[in-house]
Amino acid sequence: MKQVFWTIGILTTQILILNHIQIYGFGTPLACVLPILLFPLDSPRWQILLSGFVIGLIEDIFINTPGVTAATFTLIAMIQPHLLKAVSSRDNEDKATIPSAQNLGWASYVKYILSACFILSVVFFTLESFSFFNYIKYLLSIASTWLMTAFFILAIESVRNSKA
Amino acid sequence: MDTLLDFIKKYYYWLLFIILEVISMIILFQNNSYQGSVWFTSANTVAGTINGWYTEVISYIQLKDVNKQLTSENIYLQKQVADLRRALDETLTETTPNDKVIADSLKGFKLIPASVVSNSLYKENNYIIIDKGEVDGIKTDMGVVGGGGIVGIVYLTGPHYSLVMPTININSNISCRVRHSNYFGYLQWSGGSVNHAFLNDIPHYARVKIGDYVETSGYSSVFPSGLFVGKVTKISNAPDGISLQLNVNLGTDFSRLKDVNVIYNTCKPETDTLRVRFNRAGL
Repeated sequence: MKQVFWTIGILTTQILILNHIQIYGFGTPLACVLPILLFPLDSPRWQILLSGFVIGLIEDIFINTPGVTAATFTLIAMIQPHLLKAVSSRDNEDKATIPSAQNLGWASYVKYILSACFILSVVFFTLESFSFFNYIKYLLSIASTWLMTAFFILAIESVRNSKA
Repeated sequence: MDTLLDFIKKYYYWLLFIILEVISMIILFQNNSYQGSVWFTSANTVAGTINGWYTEVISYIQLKDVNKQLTSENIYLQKQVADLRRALDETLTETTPNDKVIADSLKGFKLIPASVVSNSLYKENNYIIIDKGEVDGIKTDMGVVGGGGIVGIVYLTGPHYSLVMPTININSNISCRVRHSNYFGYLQWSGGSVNHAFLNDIPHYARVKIGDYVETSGYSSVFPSGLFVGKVTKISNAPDGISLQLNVNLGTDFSRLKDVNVIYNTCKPETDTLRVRFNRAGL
């Protein structure tokens, strides 16, 4: 239940604030991917996949990119457990805990977020550029969205961390 | 059979993943060039309403600036009216035909005021959502103008919101001419800066100067002729080599666009009927 509130909160922030941020017209932070990245290792796969798809579809409707975010977030939901496994160094880690800087350690958490956001930006702009391709704009959009998304997610995490 | 069931149980999420991706792709390709349903864009009522709230808050915050701007504009206009009245008094003594001329140029056009609730600037297929729809009499292919000049053309309509294809969309194509000359071409945009577009198909022998005004030609029945579009900033050869390409600094500031007017051409049904009849006659 707490997770549902979190998701709604982040989606609202995304729609009302982050969607209106555009650095030089290139990228927009897609921090609403965060609820997907916070699924514990033992969560059922269908739950992660469906959440990814639904969050993506809602975001699509607001930024007028029908299907693009839904496809991207579904893919992120598919690889999320593998990414998480790759960065959690301790094998005896409690599989039911929500991934956070506290349980993973900051270094691993940053690595986890950066890699997830990188895949997200590359997939998002590759799908979006089907209609029109401009090499420089493509790379700049990927880079700016990647860094901004990671920045906002890590900022949220540091707030959560200081509260905990 | 059991092995198959076990296999499905173990890897069911692959199947779900593929189904969800296929659905996403169907939505993506069906809606890609604005051909699809208005429900998957922010022109739908729910997204439109939420974006409308956002715009209301932002407009409220910006009221001070807007007020300042309006005041200075008002002073400028009052001064202009005074100057013009004086000039008019000096030159003409009999009843002037000016009111009639102005009324004639807008005859057949009605203006429907609307507010922008959401717009995009960073894509090639940029769009603008306005808070007026079919209920308010908006139909596709109506022209949209703002204080700075033309904005775009209505592309999709919902009951209460509409999606406008602005001049800064790579598919936009609006017939324009250089003021005081009859050379006309098509205003197109090729991505990048939202303040610049190109006027293509201007013949080589056209005498065009940097700083000339570009206005609507009135050939399309979407816009009346003579509406301000922008200023020429650069003249170069078009890639096809047979015409000129003019860089146009657009009059509309899309990043601050708030209030717009939708132009309803009351003669359009008539001209459309004539066009259809002409096509049917195969002339």
